[in-house]
Amino acid sequence: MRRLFLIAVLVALGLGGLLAVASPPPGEYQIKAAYLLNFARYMEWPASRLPGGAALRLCVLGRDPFGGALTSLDGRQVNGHEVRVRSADSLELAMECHIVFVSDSEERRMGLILRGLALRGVLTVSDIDGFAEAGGSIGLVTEDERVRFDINQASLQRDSLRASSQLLRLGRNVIGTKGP
Amino acid sequence: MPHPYRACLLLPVLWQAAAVCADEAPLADLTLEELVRLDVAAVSRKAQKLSEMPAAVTVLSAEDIRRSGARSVPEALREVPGVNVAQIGGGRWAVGVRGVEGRFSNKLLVQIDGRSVYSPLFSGVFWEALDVMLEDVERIEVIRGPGASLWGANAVNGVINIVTRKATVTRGSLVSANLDDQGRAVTAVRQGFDLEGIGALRVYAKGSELERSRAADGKSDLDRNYGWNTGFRMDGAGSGVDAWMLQGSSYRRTSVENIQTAAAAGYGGLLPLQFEFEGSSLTGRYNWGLAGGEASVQAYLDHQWANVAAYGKGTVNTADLDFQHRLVPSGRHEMMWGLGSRYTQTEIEATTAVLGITPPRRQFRVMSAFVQDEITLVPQTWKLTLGGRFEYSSTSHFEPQPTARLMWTPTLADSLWASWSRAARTPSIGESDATILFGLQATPPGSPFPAVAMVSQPGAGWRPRAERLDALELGYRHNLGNGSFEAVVFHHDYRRLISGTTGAIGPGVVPIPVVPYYAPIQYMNRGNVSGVRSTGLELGLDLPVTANLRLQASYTVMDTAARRSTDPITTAFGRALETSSPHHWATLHTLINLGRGRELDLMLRRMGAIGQGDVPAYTSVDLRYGWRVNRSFELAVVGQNLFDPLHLEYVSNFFPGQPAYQPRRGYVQGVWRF
Repeated sequence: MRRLFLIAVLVALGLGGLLAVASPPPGEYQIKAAYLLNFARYMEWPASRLPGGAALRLCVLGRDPFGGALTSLDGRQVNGHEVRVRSADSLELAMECHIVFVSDSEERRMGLILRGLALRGVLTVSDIDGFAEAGGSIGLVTEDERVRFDINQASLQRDSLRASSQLLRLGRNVIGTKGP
Repeated sequence: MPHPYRACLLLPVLWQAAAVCADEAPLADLTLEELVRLDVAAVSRKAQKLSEMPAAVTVLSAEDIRRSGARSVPEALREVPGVNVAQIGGGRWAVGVRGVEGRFSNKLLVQIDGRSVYSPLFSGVFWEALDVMLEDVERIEVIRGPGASLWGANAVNGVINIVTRKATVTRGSLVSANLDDQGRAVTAVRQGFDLEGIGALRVYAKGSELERSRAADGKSDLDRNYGWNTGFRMDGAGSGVDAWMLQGSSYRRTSVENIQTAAAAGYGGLLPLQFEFEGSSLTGRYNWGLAGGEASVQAYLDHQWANVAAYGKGTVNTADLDFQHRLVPSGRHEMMWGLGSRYTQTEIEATTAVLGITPPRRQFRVMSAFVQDEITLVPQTWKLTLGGRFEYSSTSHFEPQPTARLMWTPTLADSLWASWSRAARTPSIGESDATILFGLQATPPGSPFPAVAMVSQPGAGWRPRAERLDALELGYRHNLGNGSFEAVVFHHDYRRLISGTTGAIGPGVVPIPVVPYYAPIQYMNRGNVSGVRSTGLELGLDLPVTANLRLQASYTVMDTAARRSTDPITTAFGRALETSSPHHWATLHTLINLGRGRELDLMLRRMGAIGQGDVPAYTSVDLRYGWRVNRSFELAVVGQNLFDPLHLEYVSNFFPGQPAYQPRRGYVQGVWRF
């Protein structure tokens, strides 16, 4: 019994070492980073929130799952705004951002975060299951090995954000629309 | 249009190549139309959502459950490290987390959408009465180790949380039909409705007759389990920040098994025993913003009725109210607190020599409060969680249940955590009030009686106290982004476990049908007299090998030792606990995507021998072939236990049930969504 235990511990350490060498294939989050840039392109903020020529702040709340794919977007130009990527260490800092990607490490605090960011002109995006259903602006969903997105039109309207018709047309589900 | 990025995406295993692509970020120039049509090289698993928690947590997603070929909750849990699942018979399961268990794993809390299905009658879950519609389960969370600070008493060894999908995501229709090799069918139907401006509703019904087990000869069937359940769930539209949910369910199930009575002087044999279960429940929940934070209130009513042949019947009615408040983080602190109150009323009619419960009517009140503080010691690196639950119950002493957890996250992918917790388990009605005939024990030749009846009763003057557990855990988690590796070492020290001591012989006798037509009674007096320690290691691995091949493996090794006692009955109880689960077990699941919606799953399971009931070790091989024919129809063919004609997984320790063997099985399942 004791010997078995020892063997198991050794196996565990060996496996851990092996895995530490291997790093994950980044495909999915590269695509998600590209989506974030596109959302910036196809979304319109009130001028009071994002004056012409001002920097567009794109923030990650929680653990950064992008592995560099997002920071590489820093400095790009979108509709005359320079994109600034940064990580938001707290909800207060996230309130300053224009787009907040809520990492799935924050799932337990999702309700709290959505409440905190409501009515502040923040576009919230996440791949947490049921994010758009729960009141987030855009939920990224992986379906049939493709990344799609759900849009919560009601939360966008509440935050005075305007999604282009192209964005609405390509969304998998548009939640909270009552006719045209 | 040529796609320069394709090459990057097609090489998910060549990490270096992929990393080069990441630097260039060519994807960023794609338009939305191109993005929605782009295939993802490797899809990460959305299962490790609770991975930020300093606890041993496994989350089974709907996809995990589907690929496992499971048709019941216990089957779905087979691949979770630290969880020992053994089939006792048709619909009857022994599910234990970290050992010290049995048919009624009395230290495990099981909840469906926040409603406890733990029965206060026998301190456990009647798995045979629980038939969940797995198609509408969103996830199953398994928390190993004491979860008392958040989930309450009885969450001693672990918590299993079954979470069903919101009605807002099940707006369509679903028909699921399942036919097994014995010709028995399981059918489930669900219909979703859009409630304009309010939210969504789904109603469902499921009927099933489960496959039967075999006797040791491999031919004759020995048990039955059949019944139905139906219910609804309603969720508010998800546009606002406030959310509400209302759901109700009703079920009826019948389970028949054989009781084996000890053969003494030609007397004995098999006695069919029929259990009937009925129940209904209604649960409501509301979430809203409170003082910058988030609050939720949940209430439920639950009614259960059970009948055990002619030996007894009982009803349990429960009303439960819970309040939780997550405060807005302030400085380094993130606090959560809550209050709970539960009222339970039981009425049991059982006055035979086999089972007697006095008094027949009882009421319990439990008031509880919990508080938890997550303190960030060093941002992103060190986190300390302190929590405690305080419970006042009308049946046991005040039981504080504290926990302290420290987590160190040196890199983005690695985390190491350690915890100490104390948990308590309230005695059940069966334990505090019942007089149960455990069986007849043959006497040595020459005795004046062929057998003595072993009867368990509450010890004279015994005031039942809660059982106590002190648990130490050390865990390591490596996040592979696309997969994960986890190792947890635990040491559990149980005190005041309820077991028996040798009592008096007589008064009273039990009638038997052989000369001299009665057997004297050897009483066993129950008390909080036993102690057990268990130590173990749990390993879990989820490894994406290529885009189309994934390996999931688990291994658990565990050692249980009971405290020595001079009393032979206490010693026997300790031995039973030591041998109630295997010393080690392992699972390996190979998931292969064959392309064009076809998938293959190969599941290997090796279970060590179980001393109690002399259950030998076994290896089982299951195979699943799934085919998503189109967007609305999905077909699966599953073969279980392929290379072993018959094996035994568990012998019930509660009633002396006839050992039920599991044969080779197969089934076909079709699921239509429209």
